[in-house]
Amino acid sequence: MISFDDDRDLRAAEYALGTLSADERTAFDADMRRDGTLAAAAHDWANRLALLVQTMPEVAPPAGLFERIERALPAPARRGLRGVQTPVSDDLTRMRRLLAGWRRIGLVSSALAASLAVALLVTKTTPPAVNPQLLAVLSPKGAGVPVLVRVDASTRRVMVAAASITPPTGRSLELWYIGKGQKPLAMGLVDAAKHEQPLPASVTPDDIRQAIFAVTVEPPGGAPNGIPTGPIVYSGPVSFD
Amino acid sequence: MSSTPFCSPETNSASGIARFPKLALRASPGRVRCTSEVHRNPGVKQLDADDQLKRVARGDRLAFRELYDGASPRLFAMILRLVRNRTMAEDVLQDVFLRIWRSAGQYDSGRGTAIAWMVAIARNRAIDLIRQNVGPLAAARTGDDDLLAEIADPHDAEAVLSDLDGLRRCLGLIEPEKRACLLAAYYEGASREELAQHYGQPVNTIKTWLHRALASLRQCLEHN
Repeated sequence: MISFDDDRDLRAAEYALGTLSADERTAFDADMRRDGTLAAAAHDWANRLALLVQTMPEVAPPAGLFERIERALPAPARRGLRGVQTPVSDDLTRMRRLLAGWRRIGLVSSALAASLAVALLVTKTTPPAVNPQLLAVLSPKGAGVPVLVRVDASTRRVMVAAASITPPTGRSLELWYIGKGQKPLAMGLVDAAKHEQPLPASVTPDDIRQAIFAVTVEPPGGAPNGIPTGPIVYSGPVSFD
Repeated sequence: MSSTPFCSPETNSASGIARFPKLALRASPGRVRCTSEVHRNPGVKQLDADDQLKRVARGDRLAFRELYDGASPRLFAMILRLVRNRTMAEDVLQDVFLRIWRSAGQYDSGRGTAIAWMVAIARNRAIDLIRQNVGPLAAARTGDDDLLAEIADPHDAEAVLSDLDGLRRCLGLIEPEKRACLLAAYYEGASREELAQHYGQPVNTIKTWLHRALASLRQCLEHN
């Protein structure tokens, strides 16, 4: 371990902090290429300070920037296009994409946990006009028929067309309402041809329009503590038109 | 899920002095804002990013998209604050992700988090630019006010790693003026010269302040 009094470590610290001049940075870059311990010191400092970025408010880059980046990538290797993924990671990928989509349009500033356990601070948006009928199309993992969730905003009833759903043997399927930046709220088991459930009182019409629904595989009778534990088997955002 | 006190830099777009948040301008002990409203989601996003980066290293473009979706808002926010120009920030972000694509195989999860690895790439690119004065200091603030207002929105509260508590505590032990220098350098990309001008101190004094702040930080973090 380098003593902190060592100028080398102070240089590394200032490199990571960003306060070296252009010439000093160039020299440091060159020194790092020759000296692995210097590079390691800079790396350590970058790691220490990177936590500060966790405190910054996120800013969505402009739509289309990823496509710009993608066009600048080398031609794709066919092998690379087929990621080897488990069904669970497929689900999580889908959920992450949904959330990423929200993030891009500035509705949500954060990500979803694999367990769906997530809680965020969210600022209120101007309430839009309430549409009495909202629909969420919950895409299945892999092949299968989507599950439709209809929300009647006037009666606050959530109806699930679940005829095609068969829970895995010895397990239950549970529906979750996930408001923008909120923890998942248990919406009961999906075990009948027609499943209907009232929205929790805390959910406002504005919230519904920015929510997603998901179905997870849970122990018989549902997730024990109101927190999803199993893989997501269906998910989709609430849409309205 | 627990909540924990948490600090973030206080920024204000109305600041009339380029490149410094009020955090730096006022340098009072209270300039690091703390809140107990932060919810923890420890490490989940980090695990995602680790996994995605490993897949990117194998040429997986879907993983690259996921990584971009997850990390770009944070990286973009940081870059934007450093270069202070949206077009330039977009260019830097593009360059950063191309570097991430090319270099993902060099990421070593044993030596730090994926987020930290990407932050380092982004910071180095942005700092190189502003130190070469390719814009930010000269770049007019004109027209950037809306961006600054955006940046100054209430901070994101997600996925606070447990280490952040330690960092916050350690920052709290640094003398306010030195801490403000350190944070202005990190968040705003302030150079020693800019800090010297702002604080009316010789550059060498600023250098000493920074070194003391960094020394204090490291000592504290190592004993955490």
